[in-house]
Amino acid sequence: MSITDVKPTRSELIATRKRIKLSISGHKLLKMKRDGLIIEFFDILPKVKDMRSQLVELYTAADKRLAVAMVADGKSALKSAANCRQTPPQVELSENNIMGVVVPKIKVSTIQKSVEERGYGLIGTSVRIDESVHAFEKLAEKVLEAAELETTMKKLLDEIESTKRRVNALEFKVIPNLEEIAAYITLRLEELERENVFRLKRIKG
Amino acid sequence: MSNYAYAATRVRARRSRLLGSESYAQLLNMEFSEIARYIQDLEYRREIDKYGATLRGADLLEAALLDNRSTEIGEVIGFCTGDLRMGVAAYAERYNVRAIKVLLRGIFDEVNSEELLKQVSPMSDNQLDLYTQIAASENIEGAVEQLEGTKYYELLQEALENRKSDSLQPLEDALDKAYYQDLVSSLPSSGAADRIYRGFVQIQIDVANLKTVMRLRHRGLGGHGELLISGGNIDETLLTATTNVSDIVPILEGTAYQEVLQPIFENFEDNGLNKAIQALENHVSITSRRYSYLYPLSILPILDYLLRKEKEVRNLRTIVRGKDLKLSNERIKEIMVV
Repeated sequence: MSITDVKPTRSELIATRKRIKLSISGHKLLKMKRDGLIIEFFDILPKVKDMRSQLVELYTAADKRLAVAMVADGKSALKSAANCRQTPPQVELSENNIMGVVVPKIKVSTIQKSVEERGYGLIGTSVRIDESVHAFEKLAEKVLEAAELETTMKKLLDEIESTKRRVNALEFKVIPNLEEIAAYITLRLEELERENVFRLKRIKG
Repeated sequence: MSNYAYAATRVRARRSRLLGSESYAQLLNMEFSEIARYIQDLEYRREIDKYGATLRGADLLEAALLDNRSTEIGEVIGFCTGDLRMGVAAYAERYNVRAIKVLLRGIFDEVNSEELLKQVSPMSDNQLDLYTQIAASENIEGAVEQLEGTKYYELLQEALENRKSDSLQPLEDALDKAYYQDLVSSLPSSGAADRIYRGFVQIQIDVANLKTVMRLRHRGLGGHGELLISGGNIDETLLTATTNVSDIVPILEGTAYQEVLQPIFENFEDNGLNKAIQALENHVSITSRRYSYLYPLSILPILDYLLRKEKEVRNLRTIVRGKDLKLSNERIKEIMVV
């Protein structure tokens, strides 16, 4: 609302002062939320960093095992073993609330299987294929754990960003604007008061 | 009437065309494209031309190598006669069993029949017809029906009825066990060469049992005696009673396997399982070669040739894939069967 649109009345002044009070308390709360989110973010950051390095490590190991299996048994044997998969990995999704930010919670099940649950025969298949499958099962499990942490971090970052924008808008735009309006109304009301006093004095005189 | 002399002469001629160990060392120092050209100049040109229109790179070479191996085995069976032919065919049945398993897996995963047929290499036209019929099946039950009239039909029906989930494991294990049992039951009972052949089959069974047990124990699984094949030198009940990998060592005492596996078992943590399996495969290869020289007019030189051919195909594939995946020469050498 610009100053020119404001009606310089006492009720408007009261309403503006109420809005200023509300904005200040909102600003304070949002600042607290932003700080809280930043603390949460820095709490999760090392976990994400650690998770990423674990992922790189597991991926490198799984890739090596896959290469060895492919070199020793051939791509056709690997492709054929992959056809034995019975059930896709099952995940359970739920939600967690961090200071109003809804983040996913992923519960992983049935990814790592024992050799007898993989669907292929145990007499005729190669142990290298087994090891490759095992390494990728471990990697898939970690990927899902990482997905939870990465999404949480991304959502926290988005929320910190938007909270920061709101705090700045209140601090540098809304509150100064309202204070300017309040000052203008006060000035206009004082002006009117002075005009009234002057008019009364002239009538008396 | 078996034609041992004729068959042995023909495989000797074919054996002379196989790559020697020094050729692998040369191949390891070549670039991928150079290796491809080298393989093309060997016995594999026809198969490379056959797949050249549909496949590229390492996939093309792998398909050509496997196809050539199947053709070669089919030809060897073709020029053997009598008991010798039956013996060689019984041994080569492993490739048929492997192909049936590949087909069953493909049907299970709803791979289309055209794609599926590309994954198998039949050794004869009869096998091609059978594989085509199996690949056209809509489900596992239908695929098993297509095997009616073969020795695998009843055992697969039984495995289908007894399986507790839709896993293919019982079917695959039943096929593998049947292969080894057939090999044992087709053994001749007299003559020095036959005794050696029996020993050769027993080594195959022992190695298969050891691989299964080591694999299960390494993953913390005990028991599973039903997966072990009878007829070998190592008592299956003793193997079944083991609970971890280290329990296997005392069972091997006094056998040739002790010498092969003992040094690996002493430091098992460091990629031990792979090393142990590699060592067992090398043991089979070395033993078969020794046997073939002992009895040149028996089934052994022919089986030795088949093993050497298998080894050549495997080693070439290892080099091709290893180079394609940028593995170091040392790593490729470790995976190769010497």
